[in-house]
Amino acid sequence: MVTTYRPASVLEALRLKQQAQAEALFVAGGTDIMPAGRTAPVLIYLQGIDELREVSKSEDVLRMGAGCTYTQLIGDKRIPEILRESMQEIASPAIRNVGTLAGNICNASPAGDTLPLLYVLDAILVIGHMDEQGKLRTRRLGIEAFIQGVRRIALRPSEMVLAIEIPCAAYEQMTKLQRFKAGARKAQAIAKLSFAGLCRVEGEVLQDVRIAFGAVGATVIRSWTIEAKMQGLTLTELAARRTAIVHEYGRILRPIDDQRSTAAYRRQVCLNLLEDFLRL
Amino acid sequence: MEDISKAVERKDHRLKMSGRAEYTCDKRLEGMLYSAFVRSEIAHGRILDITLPDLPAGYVAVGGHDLYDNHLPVVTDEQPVFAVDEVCFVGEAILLLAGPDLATVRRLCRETKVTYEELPAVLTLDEATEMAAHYHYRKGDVEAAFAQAAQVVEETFTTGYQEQAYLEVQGMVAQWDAENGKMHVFGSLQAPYYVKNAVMRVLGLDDEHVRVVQQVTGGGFGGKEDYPSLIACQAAAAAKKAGAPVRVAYDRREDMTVTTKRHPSRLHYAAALDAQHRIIALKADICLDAGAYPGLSGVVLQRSVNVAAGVYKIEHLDVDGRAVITHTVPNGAFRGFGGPQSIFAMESLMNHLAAKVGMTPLAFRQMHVVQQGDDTVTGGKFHQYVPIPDLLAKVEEMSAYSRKYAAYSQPQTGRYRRGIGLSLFLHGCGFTGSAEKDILRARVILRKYADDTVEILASNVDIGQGLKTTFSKIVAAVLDLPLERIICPNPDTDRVPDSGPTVASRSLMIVGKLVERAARKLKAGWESGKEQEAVADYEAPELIPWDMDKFSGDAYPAYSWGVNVVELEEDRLTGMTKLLGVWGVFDVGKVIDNTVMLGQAEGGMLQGIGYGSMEKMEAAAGKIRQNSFTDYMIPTAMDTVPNQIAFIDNYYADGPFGAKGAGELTLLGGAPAYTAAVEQAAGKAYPNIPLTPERILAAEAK
Repeated sequence: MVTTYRPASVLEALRLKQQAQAEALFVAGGTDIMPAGRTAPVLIYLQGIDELREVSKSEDVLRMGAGCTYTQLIGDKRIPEILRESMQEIASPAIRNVGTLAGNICNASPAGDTLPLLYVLDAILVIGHMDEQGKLRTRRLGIEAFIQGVRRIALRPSEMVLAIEIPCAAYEQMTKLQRFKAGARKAQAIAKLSFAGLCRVEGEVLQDVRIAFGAVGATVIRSWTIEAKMQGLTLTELAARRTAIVHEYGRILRPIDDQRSTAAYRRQVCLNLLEDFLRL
Repeated sequence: MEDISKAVERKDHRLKMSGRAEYTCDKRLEGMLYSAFVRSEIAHGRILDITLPDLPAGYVAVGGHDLYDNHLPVVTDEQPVFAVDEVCFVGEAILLLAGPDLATVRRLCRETKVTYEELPAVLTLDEATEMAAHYHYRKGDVEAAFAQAAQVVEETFTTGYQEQAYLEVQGMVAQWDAENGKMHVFGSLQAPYYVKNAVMRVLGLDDEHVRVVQQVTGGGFGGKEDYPSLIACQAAAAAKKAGAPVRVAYDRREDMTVTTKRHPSRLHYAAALDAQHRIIALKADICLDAGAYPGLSGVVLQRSVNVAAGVYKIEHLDVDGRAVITHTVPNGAFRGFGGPQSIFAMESLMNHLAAKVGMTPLAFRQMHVVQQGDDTVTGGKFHQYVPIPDLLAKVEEMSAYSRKYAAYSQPQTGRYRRGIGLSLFLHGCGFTGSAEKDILRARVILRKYADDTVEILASNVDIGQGLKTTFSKIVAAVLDLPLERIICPNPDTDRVPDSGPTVASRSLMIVGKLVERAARKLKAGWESGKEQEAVADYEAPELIPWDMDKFSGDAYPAYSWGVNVVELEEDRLTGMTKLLGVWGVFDVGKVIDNTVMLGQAEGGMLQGIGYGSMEKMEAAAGKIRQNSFTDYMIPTAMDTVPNQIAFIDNYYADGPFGAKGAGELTLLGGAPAYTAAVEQAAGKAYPNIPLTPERILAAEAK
């Protein structure tokens, strides 16, 4: 027997979750759990919660509710164009109509389509729970801390993701934004690997640079250490060190051979895309 | 009379679009039991013991010992219906369990313990030694020609599995009528009488006591030629033992793991060229991976060797073909039936030879193409007009192939590079050799009712390829009746004569001709308001007799012809490609319905391009790794561009209204045209398909 609920508010959803504890599953779009045949004694459907579908943008922060579907976000001009492009390449229209960005994060697949980009956008997860007085409490966690491993996330049983926040100021100043998903076909394909790179060049100097790779490790790979070394380089210096930097990234990628691709291909394409991105 | 090619609304359109079509899985019979298989988990071994859990009341288990005869008849009869002593591939059926609750049946299967003694397994074609079939033919004096050659070029090609990927998975429902001792079988299938004959033999029932009815079938592509016989026998055995109807319904992973696929192959070619760059002699050594049992592999191999030299006239030939046994899933029929492997290899070889002698692929081909009156490779004749010049002229006009080829031959720099590839191909229509005359002897009956509607009684099936529509159009055109007055129900072997299976691009050309002839008879004696019947039996055309032992004569009564051009852009950083143009020009005699034929052409070309590019399927330790639509990639509409397609009329007197075989032809050219385009873009030769981005980049790195 499966009991299903369709709460109308975040607090109600959290209360239901708390009552049921670990046996309950939140369902946003359901596009990952359905094909996997996953279920639980209690299913809490989130589609009825309007506050989870809100998008807001201030000068500093873009906030996307956890219930926003890809289709909704693709159509919202406040969302960075590069993120909308990446969502446009996910699966098929039917999946995009119900699947959610927050779901893509919480599924924590190493091949999650939006993840490398969210890493370089410094995305933050807004997490909510209900305290003893029945009040909503929230905490914030960077995506790199939130995703802990393959299908492992830093979410306690009593918590839910309320929203994804992106600090706007930094990405709006980026001078080069690139992303690439290598899928075996142009729709309905799980990424063999993916790449995202953002940088800001000012006065021939690399002021900010962020690079992430998907599907070549248990989680998205982003190295703040290597990024720090690149920061402040002049373009001439960067060109001189490009091969060495690519080599350094090559050492931290952990691609595997599986039914979708080979480790050698994944590594080589990641590094080809990186090398291309670093031609500034 | 209006041109018969003009498209009409398909006969099955409203049924399918309204959702009313009843597929096998929709069939519900009173008291029907659900079923699941206990399957081999190892590639090769001896079964030492099978321990079943206690079966609750109403649950049964059937295996080889329950059958009258455990040999499945598919050309040969090596394959058991259920493995009894030995298992020969991962997924081979050992037992079928059936009962009222599917979850319980599945649990009982999981709780069944099979103990094996593992035996050495042959997992690849390269290790295999046991032959399922072997054919060899020669023409001229190959040794002498090689001895005097100015240049000899050798190359080895390989091709992978291809999965039919029909939308509807395999399924069958069997119902035992104990009172009359009769078995009724309903299923998704291409060959009602193959299924009937198999069930008769395996259960020891006679002709009167087995009935097979085709349900609406969601695609076959050859995958439902031989395989349904197996599950029909298994379901029927369970139904008889249980005394209740039993349904076998695969899920996608099960289907992709255990059902037949296109044979992986290795093809070694050696070409001898004279000083004028003409191929004077060719040796081809073709090896197909049959999988664990021979099944259709011998017949598939016949087609591989028959088209080993493609559309080219080569004086001295030596062609050797083998199908070898491995401990992997048995391979079987798939659109093209052994042709795609050879056509890919020969077309690629032509490109590579052209490059070697400094000619364009097109000019080098034109030096060698066959013409009407030329001998075929097996000493038959191309009796009818060979329209290759017309096909080439048309595709040139549509695609500007030569201009683009010249442009892309210039050095290309930057991330994206372009290429354009061309393939020429033929398909022998109908069965190889004399099977039509000696074995099948097809018959069609037209039954006219008192209200002057006419029913087509034939065992050929509509599996999405539009046969109900094209058959009905032929009858309507001959009798000058509106299409609505022609009835073409799904075959029921209690009602329809055996007009053979729906395979080998024979249904329209061979059986359609019988439909036309029966209609003409009916017309001659037409009396309005009266019940009448007309029968037409197969009559063999005048041909050079086929000798299977010598492998000589006319292998096919007629040939269909085609040319494909593929233009694309390759991404140097990723090895990924983007199609820019796809062109196809075909000679299928006369098109019976424009929309139906366009569907065949667009689908066939994309299936061919998929075969050459992304449809990767491998076995690891004998187990198929890509066994879902998530991991086995077939192209979607997003992966192609609007195809430009044209047909050339080339009337064939022994086909209805001039029509020839069309279904398989359209798949043959996609893979070689695709790889040729990638080769031009990347400036490298790729002898292995599928040519995935992984393979493109690996070659780049060398």
